[in-house]
Amino acid sequence: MVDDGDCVAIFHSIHRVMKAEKVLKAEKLAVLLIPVPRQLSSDCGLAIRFPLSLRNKIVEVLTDVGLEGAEIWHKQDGTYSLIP
Amino acid sequence: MKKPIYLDNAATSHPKPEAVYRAVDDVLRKGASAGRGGHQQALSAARLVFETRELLAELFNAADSERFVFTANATTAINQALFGLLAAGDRVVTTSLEHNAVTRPLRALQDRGIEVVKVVADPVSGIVSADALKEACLAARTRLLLVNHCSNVYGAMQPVEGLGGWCHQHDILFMVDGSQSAGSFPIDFQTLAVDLFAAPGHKGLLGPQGTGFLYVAESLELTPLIYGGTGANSHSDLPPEELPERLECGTLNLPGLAGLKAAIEFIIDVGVMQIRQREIDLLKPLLRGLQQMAGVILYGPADPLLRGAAVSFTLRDYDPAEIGFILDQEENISVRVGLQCAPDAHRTIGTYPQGTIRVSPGYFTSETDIERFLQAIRRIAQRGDHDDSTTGVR
Ligand SMILES: Cc1ncc(COP(=O)(O)O)c(C=O)c1O
Repeated sequence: MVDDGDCVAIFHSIHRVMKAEKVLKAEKLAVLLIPVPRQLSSDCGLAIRFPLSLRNKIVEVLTDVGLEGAEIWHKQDGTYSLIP
Repeated sequence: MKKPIYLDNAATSHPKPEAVYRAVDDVLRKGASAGRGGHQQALSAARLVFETRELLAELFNAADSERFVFTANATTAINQALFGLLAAGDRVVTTSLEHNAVTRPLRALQDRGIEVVKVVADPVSGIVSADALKEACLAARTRLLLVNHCSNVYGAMQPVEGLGGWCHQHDILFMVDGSQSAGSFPIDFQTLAVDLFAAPGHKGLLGPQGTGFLYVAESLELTPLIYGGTGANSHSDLPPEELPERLECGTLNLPGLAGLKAAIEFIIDVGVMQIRQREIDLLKPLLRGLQQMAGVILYGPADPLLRGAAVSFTLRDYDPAEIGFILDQEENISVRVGLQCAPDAHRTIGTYPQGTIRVSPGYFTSETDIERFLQAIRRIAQRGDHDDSTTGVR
């Protein structure tokens, strides 16, 4: 579901995940909705997966629509670290 | 059998736009529930719910769609607002035009130490004065001003413009019951400056029964009325902090919301101004026809521009129930008679306890329907064989 090198964005409500998906897809960014991996804890069961290369653009788009509260995690060697 | 004519749109609108029926059927066949699981069907359900909220935000010009909480009807939305907000010692100012959906929760809250002040509307126009509301608010420290935007009994539109801004200057919260206005009048939450707005999805919004919403302004936090699963935050025994999920426990009415979504798309497409104009165009012959009939007493504003589509009248000393019965049985016309769940509104205009005959056209009503209704009333007025044993009640 999440490959090494991928990022996962988690949010605090399903509504916000849906909003994020909508604005990111409108920007034609290659994102996918996935269930939250068990290593991460989220208030909401859904997360958004994308490659690291899209990270800056994604943060920019999310911030523009008031979703800057999302946590973005990066998977490396099987473990996740929070990208500040 | 005469062609049925539905003139009870103030209770629930009928028919719905064609797309509403299709949307309900379509979603019901697809399965899955919004926010319950991550499979494709659940995701498309969650997207549908999200899109419905976005459309509401567009229709009402709200900054953030996450402040719209879906409920089963207006009543649940109003209960969530009042029980989620008020505590012992709070004071609420409201009007004599409220539906029992407001009056009864407030009555229950009175028993919990909340003070309720009802400002009485003008007995002829049915309009409550903005100055009287302000005066009542300033008489003692007030937490909430709650106004029914448009009377469900006699259509009187209330002067809500400007009240929101005024309330905020005085540190009072402002709530509108938009049950009879949402979808039929242009409403802008930024200008109206509402903190809370409740509406059903099944009246002027033209969606299915079992839908409604509460809008909660950004700065406001409510205690949930209902506790349970939200499909998220499952490890915790506390409700989520975030709206809308915080106030939306339990499986949502997905078919209903799919229908509501199609209905709002229809409204946005046609335009609320056009819908309102249609209402006015139907009200004109209806009001004129009733005014010209001997023995008819018409309640509420005579000017269509000052009213919504709920029109109330009485005919001489006829029992309204009898007229409703004749219309139904002999003419195949559906109206609502009696108190329409708003006894205070009837006390205000002097039609308590026998009530009125309420006729409420909708977007799909035709001029011919109005004409047939007027002819039916004329026929009833001419027959004089009625049972007037209720005359003494008043
Ligand atoms: C003014 C008003 N408030 C509240 C309600 C209750 O709406 P619902 O039946 O959707 O709970 C109604 C409808 O009957 C109404 O007309």
